[in-house]
Formats: sequence, C-alpha cells, structure tokens
Amino acid sequence: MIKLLNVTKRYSNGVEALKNVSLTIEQGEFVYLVGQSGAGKSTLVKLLYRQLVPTEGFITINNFDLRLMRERQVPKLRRTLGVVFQDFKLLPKMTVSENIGYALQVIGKSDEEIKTAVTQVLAEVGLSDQADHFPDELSGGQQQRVAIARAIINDPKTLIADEPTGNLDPQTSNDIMAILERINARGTTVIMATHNQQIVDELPHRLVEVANGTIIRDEQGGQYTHELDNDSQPSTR
Amino acid sequence: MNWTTIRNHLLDSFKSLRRNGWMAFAAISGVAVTILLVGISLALVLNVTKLSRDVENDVRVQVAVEPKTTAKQKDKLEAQLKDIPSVKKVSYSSKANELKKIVSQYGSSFKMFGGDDNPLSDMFILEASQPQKTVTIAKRASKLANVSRANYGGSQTKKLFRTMNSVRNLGLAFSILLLFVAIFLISNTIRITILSRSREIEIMRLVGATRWYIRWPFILEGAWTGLLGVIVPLVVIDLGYSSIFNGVGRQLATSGYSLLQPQALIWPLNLSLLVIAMLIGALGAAVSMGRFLKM
Repeated sequence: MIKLLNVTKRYSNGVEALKNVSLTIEQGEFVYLVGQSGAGKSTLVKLLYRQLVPTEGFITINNFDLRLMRERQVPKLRRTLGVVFQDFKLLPKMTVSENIGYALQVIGKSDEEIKTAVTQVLAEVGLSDQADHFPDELSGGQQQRVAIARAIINDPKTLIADEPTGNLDPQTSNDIMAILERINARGTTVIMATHNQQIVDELPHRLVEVANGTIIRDEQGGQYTHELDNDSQPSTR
Repeated sequence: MNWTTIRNHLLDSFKSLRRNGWMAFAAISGVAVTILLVGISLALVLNVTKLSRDVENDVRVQVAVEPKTTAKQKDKLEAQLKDIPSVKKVSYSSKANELKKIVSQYGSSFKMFGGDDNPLSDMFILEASQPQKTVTIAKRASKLANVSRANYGGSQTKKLFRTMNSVRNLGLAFSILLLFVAIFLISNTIRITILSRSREIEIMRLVGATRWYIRWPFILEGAWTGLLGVIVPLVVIDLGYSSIFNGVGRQLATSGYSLLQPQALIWPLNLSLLVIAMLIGALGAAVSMGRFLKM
C-alpha cells in the first residue's frame, strides 16, 4: 500500500512542485499518472522511490515511512520497488543478461540464483534469444523490455514506470503495456507516469491527473483529457 | 558479504584500474614520488632517533682530579664516586693516557706535552645508569674533595639533542604533509573514475545496492593504486639505504656511532610504507565517494 498525506515538495530555488498532495494506492492497483510537463508528475515519482524527500507531509510505501527513514534504509526500500525510465538506463558494456542480473548481483545473490532468475524473467519479457546481446544491438522496445526485466527480477511489490513508452512507436508501446498488465495481474502495484493518450484511453485503469502541483482528478477508468493531448514532451522535473 | 560479492568487487576494481589506464598511471606515479620522499624522510627520522639515543646513552661525566692528589686519596675518591646514586661504572684514565688519546685524535705534534710537561689531569670517567641523571651526577662529583672539575658535555649535548629533535619533528611533519598530498592525488583520480561510472552508480542505487557495496570497488581501486605506487620507491630505498650504510655508516662507526642495520630498517620500513600507501589509496577513494553516495 502506498499513502501520501499532505505532501509538499519545495525545491531549494523556492519552486513548489507539489502542494499538499494526498493519495492512497492499494496493493495490486494499476495507476496512470498524467499531467502536463512541469505539473509535478516526475517529482511525485521521484518521491516514491525516495530520490527526493518531501518538504512537508508523510509518505509510506511498502511499510516504509519515507520521510523518517534513515539513509541506510533506502536500499531496503528500493529492493521492494522496480523502477523503469523512458531512457531505459541500461549499462552499454554489459550484455542483456548481465544488465538484468545486475539488480540481483548488487544485493549479493549467488551466480546460480542470478542465472535462474534471469532465464525466467527473460522468458517473461520475450527476450530469451537476446540474452547475450549488448543494449546497442537492440531496438528501443527491446531495450525497454530489458529495463522492465531488470525492474521485476527482484519480484518487487511496486513497479514505478516514468514514461516507459515515451520513446517508442505505438505497436512497441502496446507490447510494453502488455508486459506491464501481466506484471500487474500477478499482484504487483504499477504506477505509470505517461503522456500517451492512446494507451490511457484503450487500456483504462485508475487515472490520477496532476496540475500545478496538485491532484485535480482521481478517477477509476478515467480517460485522458483532451487538454493534455497537445503536450507530448516529457517533463524533466 | 559473501564470496560472490567479494569476487565481484575485486574484479570490478581491477577492471576499473585497467579501464582508466593513463589516469591510473598518473596516480600511481604520484604515489611513487610521494612514498619515495616519505620513505627517505622516515629512514632519516629513524636514524636520527637511533643516533640521538646512542649519543644520549654515551654521555659520560669526566671528573678531573686535582694535580697533587695522592694514590690513597684517589682510591678514596673512586669509592666516593661509586657511591653516587645512578653511577653505573667508574673507570680511571691517567693523564698520560689522556694525552695518548689526544695524540691519536689530533696528531703527533701533541707528543711535545709528554712527561712532566703534560698539562692534563688524571680523570675518572663515570657512566650513568640513566642518561638524564648525568647533570646531577656531575654536580655531586664536583663537590667532592680532590676534584678540580666535573664535565658532562653540558650545553653542547643539549644543543645536539635540540638539533636532533628538530630534525626528527621536521621529518615527521614533512612525511605527514606528503601523505596528505598523496591522498589528494588519489582522490582526484578516483573522482574521475567515479564520474565515468556515474550511470552505473545511479543504477546500483536504484536497484538497492548499499552504500558499502558501491564504495568497495573504488576503495579497492585506491588501495591497488597505492600498492602499485609503492613498488619503485621500495626498491630505490632498499638499494639506496644499503649503499649509504656501507659508505657513511662505516665512517660513522669509527667515532663509536652507527646507523640502523639495513636488515633492521628495511623490512619494517617496507611494510610500513606498503600499509601506508594502501591506506592512503583507500582513504583517497573514500574521500571522493562522499557526494556520489547521496541516495
């Protein structure tokens, strides 16, 4: 379960990216996070995996209190999360298998455990035959599937995806969504920040719309609003 | 930490050292120069300490006997000198013997002062059980009957000790300063390594690696930089010291003092420099990790 209570995030330059935001997400939900660039979506996402700390308010995620937790507990929190980005964040000098296994390697799993888990997760994202390829030998969609495989190899309770289809064509985006739907069906909470109207409208889930740092709409099965349609640039904040 | 993790850290640290070839070479060279200077400085400090101790232990009180003292009075005086607390040994040297010493040190022209023309005094030479009691012994001896004066090298010795202390302290201060320079050199190199691997560190943090997991490969890389940097200075110091010992050391031996034996100096010094180099390497890496580890 994820709970935000009266969360405000103010940057050191004085900009208030989120203002008094409260939100509850139950385990196993699929939530779209939509809003124009600069609305505060990325700030909200970064608060969830504790890249940022709220200025005011409380956040609990997977039983961790993010505002009060000590720095040394952050790795423990992140092991319960999977994070996927628009730019994939793969290591170019590692093969697909190594990139995926890296998430288990850094938490001290044995070679045998890593090998078994990588084989399983590669099959899950449909990349079994690309295991020994390097990221630059793959298409954008395949690279994103590697990133998703790395995010889910640790069997996280929550998957946070920040614009996972931002760089992909419609067909590839649909493939990625199919994978995310499968992951969600297993009971993993999926929170996806997106600008993709087609996906939001065709695959309806709970929709949370952010504007000017506040939640202006929280609707089960909500459609992407027409006003947001013109803005397709990803946010940097 | 399990064996797989230790193996991964070791492999990562070697890979990174190889990947940053020229930067690593620059850091290793920097460490080599620094450790060479630290090694020379420490060898100097250790030898000055030894010489200082030799001189300190060698301080004796020379008690000059008044010219017309009879043999019986001399025996009595010798007994009185032996009774002074902290006197370890009393030896007698006649004025003829004292003249012989001068002739052997300054040349045969002093032979003209032989026989009745000998202006020197018969001497009792006292050795103290503790060097710091020398002054007290000299004072007490000078008050005894038939003693014309008691010398202990006084101000000259104090001056020598002061100089030796200064050399020792300066050497240590210089070594510490150099070690800071080496830490700075290594931390800069590791900083570049860290920058080149910032994406990897970002991903490690995202997937839940602990700070220590991220730190270890860099700390090991720093330690290897120190280890590789120490090899050349050790060879230079070992060979250099052996030849200095064979040259200067032998000359010094004629005046009753000696440098530290190469066997006694080289191994402890090698081991210390090796440990110091690896520690400053690791420390340099740890210093530059700080801000990259903010979660």
